[in-house]
Amino acid sequence: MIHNALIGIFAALQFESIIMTFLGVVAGVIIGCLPGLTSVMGVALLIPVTFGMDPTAGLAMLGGVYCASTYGGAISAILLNIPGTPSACVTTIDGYPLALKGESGRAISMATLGSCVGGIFSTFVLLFVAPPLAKISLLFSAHEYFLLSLLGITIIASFSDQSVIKGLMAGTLGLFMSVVGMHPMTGFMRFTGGMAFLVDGIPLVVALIGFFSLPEVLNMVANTEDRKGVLVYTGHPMKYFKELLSHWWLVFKCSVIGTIIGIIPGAGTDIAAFLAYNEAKRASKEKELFGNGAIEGVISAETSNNAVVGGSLVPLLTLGIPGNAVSAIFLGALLIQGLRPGFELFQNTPEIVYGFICSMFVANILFVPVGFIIARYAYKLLKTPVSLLAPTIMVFAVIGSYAIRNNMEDLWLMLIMGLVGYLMQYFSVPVAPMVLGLVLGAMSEGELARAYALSNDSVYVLLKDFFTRPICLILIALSAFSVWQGIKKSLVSDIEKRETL
Amino acid sequence: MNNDSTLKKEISFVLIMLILALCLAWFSFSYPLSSSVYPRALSVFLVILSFCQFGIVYFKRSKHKNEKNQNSQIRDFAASFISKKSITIYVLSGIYLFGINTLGFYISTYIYIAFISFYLGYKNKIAMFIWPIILCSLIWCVFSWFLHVPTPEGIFF
Repeated sequence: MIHNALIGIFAALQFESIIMTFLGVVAGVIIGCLPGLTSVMGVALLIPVTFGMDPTAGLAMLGGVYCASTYGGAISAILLNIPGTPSACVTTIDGYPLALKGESGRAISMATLGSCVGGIFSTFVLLFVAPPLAKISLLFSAHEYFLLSLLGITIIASFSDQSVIKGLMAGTLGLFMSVVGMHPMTGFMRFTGGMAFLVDGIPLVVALIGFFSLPEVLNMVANTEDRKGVLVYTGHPMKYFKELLSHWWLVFKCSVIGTIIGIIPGAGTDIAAFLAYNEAKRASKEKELFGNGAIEGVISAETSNNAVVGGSLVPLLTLGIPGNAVSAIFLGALLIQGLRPGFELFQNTPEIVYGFICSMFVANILFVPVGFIIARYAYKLLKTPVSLLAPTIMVFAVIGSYAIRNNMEDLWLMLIMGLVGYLMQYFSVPVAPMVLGLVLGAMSEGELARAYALSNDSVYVLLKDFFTRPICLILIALSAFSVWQGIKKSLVSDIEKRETL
Repeated sequence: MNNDSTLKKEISFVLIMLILALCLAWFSFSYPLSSSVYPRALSVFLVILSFCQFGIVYFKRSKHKNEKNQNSQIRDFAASFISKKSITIYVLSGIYLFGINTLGFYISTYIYIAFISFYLGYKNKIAMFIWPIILCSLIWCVFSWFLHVPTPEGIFF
């Protein structure tokens, strides 16, 4: 373990890795800071850039973008009262009032330092929990992997803000999209319409770029309100470090909350931020300050949402199940590099996986100075006109989509996926389950086919295996529980809506 | 957005999903059994979910007839309406992709960015024409020259 960690540190501190981590962090803070750009979009757009790179350096860059963009949303949340990323919604509650009182420096410093600590904590957990958990993956066979993929989709569908039925429909559509192309066993072409470029299926990265970039561009142009009243960040950052230390117990609790939420497939940064905020309010001696500029509100939200980052990579690297939409894209990045998550990843390529994990430590440290510098000039960045930003994002989406297979048809596919993503937003259908369905679909069908073959082509034996194997029973119970929780949540929110009306 | 328009959207969504689910089921069942077990199961599941959603919307519609209209002031993070600008940008993006094939990536990118900025009301005319040149140069340097990531090719540059 120590030996592998040292290999990882050595790989992460290579010149190329450090430069790529730094570039990823800068890009991530800018992406997170600009409302309308999300971590998912940033990582999806930058995957093609990593093609020609060393795998460790490429993953380090994407990890830098992930960490930094999760934090970067706090800057516009505090200065503009508009969250740069969905997870920064909670930060606006107390961050903006603090900025209005002239304490923008204090708020941003606490957000930055808290994010750093939360991110480092979860990366430690990733480093020490992932390898033993990867060994558990050896107990998994085709039956367990199939049910695990269904569990991921049911959890993410249940946790979505919209109805669980819509979430399950989105997940099913995602699974359907993964069916396009050749059958993994028989080679029969399905849903290709005779089009050669669909023989290998819908490319994951093209679909992700379409789902996440184009709808944001179309939303941006539809809501072209001027961003007036950007507050300027003032203050010296490090003088607030002692104040953060005085809240050490809160920081620790929020780091744990964020890490655990990150490990649960489907639960994202926004859920972690809400849970941590509620906990901070519950435990606070000055509850009346919350909502009016309580610094604990900012610390709790930002610490926990960055702690999700490391946690979300635990199920991804060990079992191949993404913890959230961003880690789903990481799965795509790993597969493109020819790396398959699981025990073999840790066993056969320790320099890559441990190098990637150690580069996350570097990223969490680097975004502190980068974040402070960018926050100081954020008021200029946040005034970037949408009329320049929107077409620029489209151009990067075109480059990213073309780079996968050098295929013009992929650009049209990206445009169609963008329309699908936009219509899903219009009809309030969550996109994350569809993404997960697309990512896990190929694996789930392949594993189901293998499980069926192992059951001597008997449906009865297959079902009997599902309901007699201990791990399968646990996974079925968890899926049923998550669907029930989602239905209960929908029913409760319907009742609450009727009561307020 | 009031409850009436939300309900209409829900009804449209359910109808679209029902039609889509039935079409997918029809295609799935037309493939040989050995290659279509998974899509058949998915299509059946999707049809069931569509009917469940139809039931929920029908129930909400009956409830809504007995309730007053309330205007919701809740700000949505996602698109709450499809705007003319969004549709125009989408169509222009499609034309941009056509342009890449003929004019080439860099020429069509320059025209696309300049035109979209103009359409969206960007006032600084000089920056509107200089920014696309800067961006195209950056793209060439970073992607083509440094990273050797290919960009789309057309007849011209």
